[in-house]
Amino acid sequence: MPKISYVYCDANVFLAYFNAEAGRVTVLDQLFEEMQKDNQRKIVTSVVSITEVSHVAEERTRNRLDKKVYDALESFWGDNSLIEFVDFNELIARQARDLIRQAISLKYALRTNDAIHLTSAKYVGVSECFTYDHKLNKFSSIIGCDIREPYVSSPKLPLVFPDDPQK
Amino acid sequence: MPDTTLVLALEGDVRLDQFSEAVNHFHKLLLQLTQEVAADTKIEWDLEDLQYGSAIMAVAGRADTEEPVLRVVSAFEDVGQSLQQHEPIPFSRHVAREAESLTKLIGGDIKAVRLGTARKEAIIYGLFDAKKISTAKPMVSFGSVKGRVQSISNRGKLRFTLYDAVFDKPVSCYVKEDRQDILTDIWDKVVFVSGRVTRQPDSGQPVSVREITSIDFVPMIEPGSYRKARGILAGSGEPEPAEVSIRRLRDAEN
Repeated sequence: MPKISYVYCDANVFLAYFNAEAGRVTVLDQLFEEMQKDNQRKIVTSVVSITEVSHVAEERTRNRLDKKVYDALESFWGDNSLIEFVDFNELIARQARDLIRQAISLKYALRTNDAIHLTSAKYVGVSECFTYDHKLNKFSSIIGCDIREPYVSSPKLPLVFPDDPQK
Repeated sequence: MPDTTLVLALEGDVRLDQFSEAVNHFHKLLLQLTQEVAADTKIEWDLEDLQYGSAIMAVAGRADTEEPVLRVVSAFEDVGQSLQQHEPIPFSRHVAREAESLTKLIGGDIKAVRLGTARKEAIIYGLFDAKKISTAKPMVSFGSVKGRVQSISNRGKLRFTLYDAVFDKPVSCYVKEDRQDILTDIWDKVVFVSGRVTRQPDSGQPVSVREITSIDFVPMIEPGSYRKARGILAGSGEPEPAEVSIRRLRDAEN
C-alpha cells in the first residue's frame, strides 16, 4: 500500500483561509483542492490548531461566535479527505521541550505552541511545513524539512466563489 | 475467561520470507515455553488475527484447563520483557535461542519486533543495539487514537485492530470483558479509542490501547465540506494577517 505523504500547515494557514485573505486564499483554494484530490498527499496539523483558530475567532466575534461559523469550522476540521491531526502526546511534549531548550541555546525565542507545531511536523515526517510566520523559517534545519509560505507549483486563475468577501 | 492472546508484530516493511521465518521461530518459542512451564498439557494455538501494515499475527491458546495456558502466556511476557531490557532470558537455552532468533530479523526494513499479550507489550530494537537500551521502554500514557476498525475478535477475549489515521499502521486494542457493549457496531467505522496508549519510544507511533474507557465515533463529514469554512471569519473584527493574530495569542501565553 503506498504511503501517504504529509504536508504540515501551521494554524495561521487555516486562519488565512477562514479570513479569505487577499493574495493568499486563491493559493490555498488551489492547494487544498490539489491535496484533497490526491490520495497520496494530505495536510496534517497539530490538534492545537483547532484551539488556536477558535480562540482568534472568539476574540474577533467578541465571544459571540455564532452557530453558522462554528459549524463551518467543524466541517473544515472534520473533513478527513483533506486533513488529519497529530495528537499532543507525551513524546511530542518531551520533544517540544527539548526543541525549546535547543532554541534557547541558539538564542532563538520559541514559544510553547510554536514548539508543539514544529515537533508535530517532525513527528509525522512531513515533506514541507507551511506557515505565514517567517519567524519559524529558521528552524528548517532542526526540523528537517522546508518551512515556508504555502505555494502551488502551477498557480491557476482565482476560483470564483459566490459571496466571496474579497470581491 | 482470561485473555490468552499472544501477539507477534514485525514493525516496518516486511517481506514474506522474513515473516515466514519469524512465524517459525515464534511457533518454536511457544513449543519450548510450553514444554518448560506446562509440559503436562496439550495446548492448541489458534490463529486469531493477521494484519498488514506492520506484519502482525495474534494467536490464542486453548487447552482443557486454562491455568497451563496462562503459565505459557506469563512466560511469553517474561521473554518479551527480558529481550526488551536486554537482560538474560530466564528459561532454557532452547527458549533463548528461539527468542533471540526473532530479534535477529531486526535490521534493514524491519525496525523492531513486538511481543504482546493482553497485559503487556515488549518492543525490541535488536539485541546488540546498545544505543537504544536506555530508551527502549515503550511509552505508555492515557490518551486516544483515531483510526478505522478493521477486525474484531470476541471469541472469549475481546480484541480489535484499529488502523491509525496518520501512520496507517495497525494498533491492537484490548477490551475488558465487562465492556463488551462498547464493541457494538464499530466494524469499519472511524473511531477515537481512549485508554492507556502504548507508543513506540522512538517514533511515537501507537501500537496498542489497553484499559479502554471509551470508543467514540468520528462524525462522517462529506469530502469537500472544508470549503464551507472559506472566508467564514472574513469581515468580523479588525482585519489583520493571520500570522499576526496567531503570534499575538502565542506570545501572550508565555
